[in-house]
Amino acid sequence: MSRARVALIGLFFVALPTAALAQEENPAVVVPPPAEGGVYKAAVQRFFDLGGGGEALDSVRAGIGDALEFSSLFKVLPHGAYLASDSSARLEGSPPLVCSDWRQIGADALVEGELSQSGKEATVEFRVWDVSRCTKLLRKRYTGPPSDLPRISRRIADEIVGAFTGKPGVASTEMAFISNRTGAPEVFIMGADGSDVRQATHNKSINNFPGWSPDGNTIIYTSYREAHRPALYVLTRGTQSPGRVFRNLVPGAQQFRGVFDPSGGKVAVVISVEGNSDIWLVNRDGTGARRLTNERSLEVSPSFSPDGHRMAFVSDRAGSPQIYVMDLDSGNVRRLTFNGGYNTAPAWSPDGKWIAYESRVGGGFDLWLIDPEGTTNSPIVENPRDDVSATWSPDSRKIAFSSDRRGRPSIFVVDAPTGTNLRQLTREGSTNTSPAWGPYVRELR
Amino acid sequence: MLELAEEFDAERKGAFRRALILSCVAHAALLALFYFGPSSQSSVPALPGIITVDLVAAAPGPAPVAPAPPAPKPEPPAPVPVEPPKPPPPPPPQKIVLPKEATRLPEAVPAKPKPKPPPKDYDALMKELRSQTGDVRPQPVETARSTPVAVAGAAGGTVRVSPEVAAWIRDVKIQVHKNWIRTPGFDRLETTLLVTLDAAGNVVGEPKIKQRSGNPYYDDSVVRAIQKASPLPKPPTPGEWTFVFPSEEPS
Repeated sequence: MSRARVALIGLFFVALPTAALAQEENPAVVVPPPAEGGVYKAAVQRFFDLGGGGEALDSVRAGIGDALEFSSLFKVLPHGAYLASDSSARLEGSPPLVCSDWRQIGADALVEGELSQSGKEATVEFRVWDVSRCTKLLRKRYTGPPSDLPRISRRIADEIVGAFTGKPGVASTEMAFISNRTGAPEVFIMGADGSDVRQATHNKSINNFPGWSPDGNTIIYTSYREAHRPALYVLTRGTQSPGRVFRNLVPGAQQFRGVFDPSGGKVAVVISVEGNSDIWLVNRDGTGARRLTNERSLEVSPSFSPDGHRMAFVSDRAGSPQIYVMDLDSGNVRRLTFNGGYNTAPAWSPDGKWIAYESRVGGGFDLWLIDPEGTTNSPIVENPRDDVSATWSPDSRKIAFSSDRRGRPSIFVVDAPTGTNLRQLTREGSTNTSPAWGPYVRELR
Repeated sequence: MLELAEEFDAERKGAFRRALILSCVAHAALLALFYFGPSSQSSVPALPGIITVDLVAAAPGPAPVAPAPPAPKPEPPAPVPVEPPKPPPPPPPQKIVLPKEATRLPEAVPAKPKPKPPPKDYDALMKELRSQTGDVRPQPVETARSTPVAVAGAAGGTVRVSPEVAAWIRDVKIQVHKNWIRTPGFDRLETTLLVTLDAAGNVVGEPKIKQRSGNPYYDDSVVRAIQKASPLPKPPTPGEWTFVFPSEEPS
């Protein structure tokens, strides 16, 4: 080995560590991320009484607390644990908040507010503190009839969830479903937490498959009210007229189900001619009908991707019902599910990450999640009985479904994608099926 | 009945039944394979460096994604939903305009829980006592431990630090990790904070965001974590420290 080479190697071994040490830089602390599923702890004070508060002071506090916990992202601290006052001071001119009082009991959020009621009107104003940073996050006021206070409370909780996580909670959203509690299967609407149930149709026929328009102002559903043949109808809010739609789409054909696309301008319609059903796409006003599938097999259960460019559906073209995905721009169709002999009722999550579907396992149906590429496929709701008709909450954090696990079919909700925090929403001694979770409600009406 | 609208007709049912029997057999075989076959669950990749390895041991155990069926079933373990290796591009973060006041109120009493004396104090005390009693021992451990340890540098590379600094970083990581509440929906994000620490480990003032993640709610969650974790263990040197918060474990 030449002398020069030895010197070079020597230089290498000396120079390298020296160069590294010469970098005078403070080391960075790289914090490993905790598992998802963290829960914020919230303290909710009894609101300050600006007059006529009465029992509403407690019911609003309880309503906010329940709705916060419905999110599964917040836990409400027991009032007895507070070091500071159990009741809010007036929001204006209140003394500076002693954040350490709330930090010490482990609170991440503090909700304070004031409430007044006089005859026809109730006003609630609330303020939320980020206790860890000792900053105000949100302050807002709602006014409405006193009967609206439960809804206002849920709305406040949803906004608190949004202020901490970036996506509002869904306690104040609505769910449509089918119930025979008044005799025939009719469309009903309830709060997403099971509260405030109202009957929406009264035709004493068979009604099924309610589905929301993206603006929450229309519910399209299937009804057998005319000549006992399935056809599509809408329930509407605002200016649009309710009643039968797409009457002349395909003459003589049965319309099994309608599903709004994410723009709200189009509807996928399952149409059956002589026992062979296919999926059509039609403008909301009934024009521009386009046949999406044209097979001798059955094609049903359309569900759009949130961008509206793809559609999941069910076909038995390969011998058994399976989930397929169609690219609506090119018309290309790809089979998505290969496990199990009966997979149906796909529901694409609003965030686009998952497609929930029913899979027959043993004697009953379970709910599974598969990603749109088919890479990950796993059960989310399992029970020996039937768990069917998955529908996503608008924040994609929950799935509602119908199950007969506790007797007659009832609506349940779980967190997604974990399948945890099972809650039963309907408790009537009736059959409750076909839940459809509505979108975020923009304005509190 | 209710399911009438999407029932398949009788003709098809025969075909389904045949397919169903076939699939049941295939299913049973598959289940058997899952049950008796080797586990297909991929092992958790070990984290580089001594520091992170310790952390994993201290981290909370079970993955929260495991579905918990209400009734126990004698079935093979369900595959845990994991992030697909190639997920579709995330939808743009939902813009929810919330009236946000950034007013920071002065705390009436800056009462902060007194930090527990770190074990180092005990060592120092023992050292002092020993020197007072004339018990001056050679410290072979010290010389062995003073070998520089490679950790992540603030600029992204690795720097070599003393074992004391490495140990402090490890403890701080654990403390901040425990105080970081992470709700679902934050993927492929990273926030870098500049945090000023006093000699006792208290976070002084509001941490500065050196590099935003692009999602303000994620940024907020990490600032919250630092503030909640304060006071941190006594830093080797007071002053500005860089904290990096990746939403995924660094590979």
